[in-house]
Amino acid sequence: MRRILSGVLGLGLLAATAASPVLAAPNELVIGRAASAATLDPGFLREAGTLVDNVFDTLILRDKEMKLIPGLALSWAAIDDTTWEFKLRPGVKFHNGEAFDATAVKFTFDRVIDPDAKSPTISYVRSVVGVDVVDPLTVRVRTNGPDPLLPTRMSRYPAYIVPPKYIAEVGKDVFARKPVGTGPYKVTEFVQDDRVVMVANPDYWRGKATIGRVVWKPIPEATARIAALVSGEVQLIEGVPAELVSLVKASPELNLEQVRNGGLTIYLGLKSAEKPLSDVKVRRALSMAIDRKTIVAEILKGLGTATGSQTSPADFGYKAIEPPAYDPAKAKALLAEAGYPDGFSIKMQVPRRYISSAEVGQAIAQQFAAIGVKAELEVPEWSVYAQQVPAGKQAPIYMLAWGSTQTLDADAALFAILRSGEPYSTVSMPALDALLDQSRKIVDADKRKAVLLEIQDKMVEDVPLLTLYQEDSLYAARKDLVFKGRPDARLPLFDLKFGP
Amino acid sequence: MTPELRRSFAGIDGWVGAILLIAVLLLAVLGPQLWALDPIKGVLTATFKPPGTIVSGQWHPLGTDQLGRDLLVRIMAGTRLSLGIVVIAGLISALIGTGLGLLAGYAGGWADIIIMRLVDIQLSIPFILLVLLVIAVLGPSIANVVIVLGVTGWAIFARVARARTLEVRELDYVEAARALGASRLRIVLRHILPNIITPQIVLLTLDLPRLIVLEASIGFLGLGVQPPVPTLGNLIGEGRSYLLVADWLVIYPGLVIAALVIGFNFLGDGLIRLTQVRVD
Repeated sequence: MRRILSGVLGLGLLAATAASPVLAAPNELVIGRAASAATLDPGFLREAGTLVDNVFDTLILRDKEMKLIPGLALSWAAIDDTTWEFKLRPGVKFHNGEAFDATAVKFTFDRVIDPDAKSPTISYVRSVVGVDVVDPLTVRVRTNGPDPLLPTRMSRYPAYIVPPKYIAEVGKDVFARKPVGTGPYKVTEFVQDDRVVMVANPDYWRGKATIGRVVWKPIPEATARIAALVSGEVQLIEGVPAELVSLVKASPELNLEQVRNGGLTIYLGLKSAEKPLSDVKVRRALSMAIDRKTIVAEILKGLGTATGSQTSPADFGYKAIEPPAYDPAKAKALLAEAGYPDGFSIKMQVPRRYISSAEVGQAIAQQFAAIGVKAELEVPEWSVYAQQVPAGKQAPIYMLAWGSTQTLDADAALFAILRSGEPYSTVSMPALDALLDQSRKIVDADKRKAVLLEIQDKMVEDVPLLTLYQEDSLYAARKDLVFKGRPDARLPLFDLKFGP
Repeated sequence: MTPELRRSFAGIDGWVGAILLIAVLLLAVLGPQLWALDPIKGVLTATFKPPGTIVSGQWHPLGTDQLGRDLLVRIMAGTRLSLGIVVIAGLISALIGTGLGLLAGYAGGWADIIIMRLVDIQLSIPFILLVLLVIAVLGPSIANVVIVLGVTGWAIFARVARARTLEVRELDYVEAARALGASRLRIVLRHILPNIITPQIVLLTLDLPRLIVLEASIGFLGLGVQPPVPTLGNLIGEGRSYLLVADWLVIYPGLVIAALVIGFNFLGDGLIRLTQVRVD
């Protein structure tokens, strides 16, 4: 029965290949993604900036070696402890013809750092207090204290420069659907949950991009995504599921691009202010109850690395921490010590979003059950969950992935999910807050590193959250597309082209 | 063909339906007793084993799933839970619908107008939208699925009950009971209800397959009973991600749903012929 059906399915795929006459012209690229973009306003993203990366520019860019290079700013320097000066690139225009200048930079930051605007990604630029226009091609950024990371903060969202006149004219809501930037691609069409169409910007200041037209298509079903790639309907996909990797590898027409630790560290957030998670013994017991290595080997099929570090190896301030030892007997003893000899019941939310994440959630629930903790699992709809989490309405135990791809610095991996009061943090530990605040005020690199390492030592001791593993990013592309995955999880269309 | 032969031949689908249902029922009720594995616990080193594999001494006739759990026992447990949900929900709808239908038909007047307009309103609301709303407010759980399915399915029962009541209440024996001074409640419960109950039961058998598919849809969308607890719907919903590597995860639960739906429909058809009633 099984063989017959596989055969039929295979035939179906073949037929689909043969019967699709509308293979994209070499100058058009169709990309299949797991999720649809909800907004294209780079200041108010609730998801990774994969699409807007190609529409907007930042003052500073990152090259393929992840080094900072001039973008819309030609040069930058700290002129005192709390002020950075940026010299801007002359002659750059937004897609609608509006000129890029110092006013645009000021406008961009003013609207994101305004606390009333409630930008979900404000954590990244929390240190910025204001921007002063010196002359049309010079701006000064003031910070609330010394901020050595400011240049890296200028390299990604929410620091994408937006056009002030256009936004004033059409309003924020229209801008989110019809964005105008200075970047290599213009958005010509945005139909939510269906497609986003971009065409190369002929007047781009780095020159016109090679691929003329790019269509981003959300295909949430992983199997359907692979089928679309095999049939040639799309030429590049994100998020290849673990169990289909062998299928892609076996295909002569497809390339698998695997970026080791490509961005996301998966963890279980804990509402550690509420009982019973307020007891560090309980948190330690839960951490010991999880068999991270088996989960990575068997459910992720090895497409990740079990770890105890919330930071990633490419980060400044990375500390290599072994995954906590799997020891259910000791975990049970710890629970008893904490006054829960029979365990307890608790709600747990795990979205179907990361590699096999819902399955990982079930495996963890089972491992919790082995020490007597009854985790009532919910697999929430991502669109609902993505709103619940920053609003603090999630379950006491919840799965999330956080990455430092924004700045490739431990600060990005830690601050937003650990500092009390940040939208994505459910931690409230004064000692940790003090260290986090301190880390943002030291300019000296070595001293700052020492504090970042101390924060991570403190995390091992206090277990504010349960770090699980770092997942690889997996892309699959048609063989004729020249594509290289990046550790910062960007998908820069400007660098893509079709090969021979 | 003689009329007798035709009559017994025509009943064969009812028998097929009954046999299918009994088979599924045995699977759901006796299965977990005979095949005593844990439907929640899996062996992480034995994922995606095809049907018939033996893993460290344990035979898996229908294979294992993405977490190394035995598919047969998950189907058994899932069928049991799905059937339970659907039958309870069906009874709730039938109870509410019949009660309101009786009231509308017998009392008439304003009660009739209001109840029948409520029926129209209920029938005009898209079901999935209602489910999304209720689950978003109440949160997903077994009880909430039963409530959603039970409370939303009453309209069709009310319509049929009202129509029959209108007919029956004009009959002589009801008139006679009224002349003897029987109370309205007694007339409705003792003289009308027994005479409209048969079509309601037939209607219930025909409504159950609809509920089975709806419960499966809710499970498939991930809005119903949450994993790791299996239902027929979320077995398929979870299995679909692995269709290219482990098609058995979808095929076998699918077959059970098919058997249930076909079984109930055939049985319902058979019952209709047997009782010679018309159901709209």
